[in-house]
Amino acid sequence: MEPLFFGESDSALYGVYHPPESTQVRSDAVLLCYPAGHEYMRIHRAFRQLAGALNAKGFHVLRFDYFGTGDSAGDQTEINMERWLQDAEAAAEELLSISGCRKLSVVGLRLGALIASQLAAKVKAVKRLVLWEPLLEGEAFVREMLQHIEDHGTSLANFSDDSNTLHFNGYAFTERALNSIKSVDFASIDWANQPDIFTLTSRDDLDVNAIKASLPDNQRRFDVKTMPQNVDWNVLDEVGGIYLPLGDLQSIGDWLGERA
Amino acid sequence: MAIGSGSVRRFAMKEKILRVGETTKINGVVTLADASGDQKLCVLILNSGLMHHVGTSRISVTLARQLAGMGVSSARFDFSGIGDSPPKRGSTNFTENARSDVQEVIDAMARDYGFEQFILYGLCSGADVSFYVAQADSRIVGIAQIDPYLYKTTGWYIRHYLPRLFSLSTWLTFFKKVGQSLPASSTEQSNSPELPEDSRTIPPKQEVVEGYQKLLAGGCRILVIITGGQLYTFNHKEQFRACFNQVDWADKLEEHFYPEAEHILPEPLYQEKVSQNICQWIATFPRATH
Repeated sequence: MEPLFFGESDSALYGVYHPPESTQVRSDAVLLCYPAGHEYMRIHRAFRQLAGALNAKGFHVLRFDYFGTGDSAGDQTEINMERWLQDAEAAAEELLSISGCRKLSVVGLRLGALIASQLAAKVKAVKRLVLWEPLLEGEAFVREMLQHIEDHGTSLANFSDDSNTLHFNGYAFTERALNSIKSVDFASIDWANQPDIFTLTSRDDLDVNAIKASLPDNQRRFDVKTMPQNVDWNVLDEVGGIYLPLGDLQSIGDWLGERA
Repeated sequence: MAIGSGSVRRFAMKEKILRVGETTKINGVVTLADASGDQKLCVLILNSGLMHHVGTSRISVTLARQLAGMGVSSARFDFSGIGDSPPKRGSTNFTENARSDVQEVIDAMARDYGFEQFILYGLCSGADVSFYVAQADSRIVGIAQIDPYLYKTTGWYIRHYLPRLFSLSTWLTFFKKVGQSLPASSTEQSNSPELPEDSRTIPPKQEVVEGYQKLLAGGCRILVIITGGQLYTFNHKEQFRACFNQVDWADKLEEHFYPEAEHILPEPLYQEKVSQNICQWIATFPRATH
């Protein structure tokens, strides 16, 4: 694990590069895109383990914090999806530069799957895309938080303040951030680049046909795996709700590990 | 850009990658206040349980940048095996590793940046580690503990049980249980996917008393903040001094109790209060120049 800052010095992004640990080094690298808010906190350990598992298969891996999150520059009040897509592009460039690879795979979880999709649709180097528990609309992310508040009531942690900033499980989303999140959806993506796609979901009701319908007619490979689990992303416990879905990590590693 | 050489410059601070250790690295971030070249004092921000060094609700990053704003440098990092630090080969156990990791970081910050005095801040297991490391290293001049080791007192029992004596529902529940011979509690089977182990060992109270006595004798100052996450063992502010009444705190203890706050501080109100408490307390330390 090699932590680094990259990008502009006044708005630098923090990332952790995992060099391959196998004697069989792959010619493609894997970029991991975190989810947002408290989900980032809950899944950090799983991302680290996924990176380790991919290293063992010979991949170069980079995971990174978007602007205004984690150790990257910026404040939560400054976040927005346009900026996060730019961050993903910068991270992809950084990973290609560090690794010397010319091909990328991108893995995105939840809202991160939408960011990964936008990146993959735009950047020619991306050959494979993993949609991990994808949200097909940014609106769904916001809706889930609001639904949780409606179901459980407001609290000192979960509420909207006078400036319409939504505070949820320790993280703040300004009205501008919420609007930018709501503006993104899978169906609107323009696929200038066409990667192979693997969708991994715990939900029986994920609209896989909607994903397929959004892709170009000549989409080469589209795999789906459903691993039914009752996952509530909006729950925190007294130690932060750390979530380690080992089966998911195995499935992603297996799919990416297949030789193209 | 070479790996690990990048940095963030923003406001009155500079952030750099921290990498400590010969083979297996302890990884983290150093936040240098602009005036840090003139200062001896550095704050080390420790892990809370299995949370990585960013902290729950990003509280460690926010705190580091607030401290930089008041001219105090800090380092936040992950203990071996947690967050962005790999596990050490042949390691013994978490507690021993964590303590030696903190010592290594202190040595590195002293060597590389010239810091001479350190304050340790930690929540939960981070508070526990700070307590033990400070006893072994005289360069540590203060520890800021959120939800440290706590023990019930007579005052706790009175406040906990007295209201229940006059509660109808308490008695109804009691008689129902007696009548049905139900067990006092049941354990709910978790159906969540595999989670990392996260247990906390509470030492005998006398060990903690002696530890605090040792810290005070060495001139170490202590900030204690207790959240509502500890109500099962702590329910009034005066309990901390009552619990450790064998310790002569003099003017070296400052304590706060926020019964409405959860253990991991997801509430913006308490994130702000706790950050203020810590920053104001740290501001009282002399920051003599080299």
